[in-house]
Amino acid sequence: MYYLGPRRNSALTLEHAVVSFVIALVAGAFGSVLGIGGGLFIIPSLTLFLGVKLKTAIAASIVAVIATSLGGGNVYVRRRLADIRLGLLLALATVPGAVIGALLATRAPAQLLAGVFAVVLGFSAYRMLQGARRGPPSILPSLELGQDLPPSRFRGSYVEPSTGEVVRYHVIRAPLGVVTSTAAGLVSGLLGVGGGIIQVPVMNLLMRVPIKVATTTSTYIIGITAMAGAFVYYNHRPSYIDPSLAVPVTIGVFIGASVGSGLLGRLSQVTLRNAFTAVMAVYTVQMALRVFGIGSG
Amino acid sequence: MVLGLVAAAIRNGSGVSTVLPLDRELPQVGKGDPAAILDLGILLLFATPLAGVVTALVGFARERDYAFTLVSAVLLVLLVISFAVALR
Repeated sequence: MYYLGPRRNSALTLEHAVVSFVIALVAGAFGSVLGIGGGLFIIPSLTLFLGVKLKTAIAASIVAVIATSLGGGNVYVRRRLADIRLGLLLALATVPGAVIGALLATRAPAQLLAGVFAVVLGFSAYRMLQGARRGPPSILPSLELGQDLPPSRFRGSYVEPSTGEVVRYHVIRAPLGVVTSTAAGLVSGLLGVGGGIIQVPVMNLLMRVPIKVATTTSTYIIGITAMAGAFVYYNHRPSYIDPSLAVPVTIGVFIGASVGSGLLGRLSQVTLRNAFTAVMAVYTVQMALRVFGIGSG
Repeated sequence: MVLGLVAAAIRNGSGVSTVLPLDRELPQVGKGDPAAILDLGILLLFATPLAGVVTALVGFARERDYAFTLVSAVLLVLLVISFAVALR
């Protein structure tokens, strides 16, 4: 709630607000198509192009992540794809994780944070590259549910949009999934990202949730997780949230995510993935350099 | 959750182009203060997932799904605690 001082803690000019808005648009568009929040793109962009301080960028991003979740999550729940029960259950773990992550972030030196960011960024780029090579994510045969699966009280179903049929699934290893989701929350609060990069595999691979349910539910959870993390950044004295930065970014991501699939629809997923991965690779290097003090602090 | 769009719209109507190098002010300061309106918008944004959880809780209660009514309730408590913890 105080003025943070002259050192580029806020998007001081209108031009900066516009630039951050555009950055966010791009992030939102790519993010919605690729199934991620976009924070991994926004934060390095803000720090590298606008010289925004890392923690301020993280705070702005985490606020924006809430908005992307609301945009995407709303539509998905409406289409009855996302599993709210599962989402809320996992949120029980992600929320404390996010708070702890955010608290750690506020206390950690920015250089250390940059290092962690570089690692996660690199890891994400690597996974995306893998995914691109292997082709579209395999949809776990939701038909494998049934007698083979260990009995689970956690059952769900959804309507497959392309075929209109009702698909049933079981959720297994829920307790382990919940515990692991704490890590997703931690990453979210610490780095200002959505956490979906961990959340989706946890649901899809670990708990046998069909991929479409996993991604949509993740979008739902992310809003709650990011909100918890944002609380910490908001309440910090002095607060890390700068409205002149957070607002353009939030609105930008929201719009980008909403129209993203339309704009980018003509490009193949593989092309988009590769482009995004390339950018992330570059950012990884730049973030890593910051650990050693090269680049704006 | 539709509130999300409303929150976004509210923020949009802030008469932006605020070049003020402020971080945040108490929203009370803001009758017509654009910076404060931005803050309010952000706070509203925060409130939206919260409202979503409350809505879910009510829904579960109505459906007599007590297990998840409990889950939602616990989550709400966690979120309130999170906010309070952050205030330290």
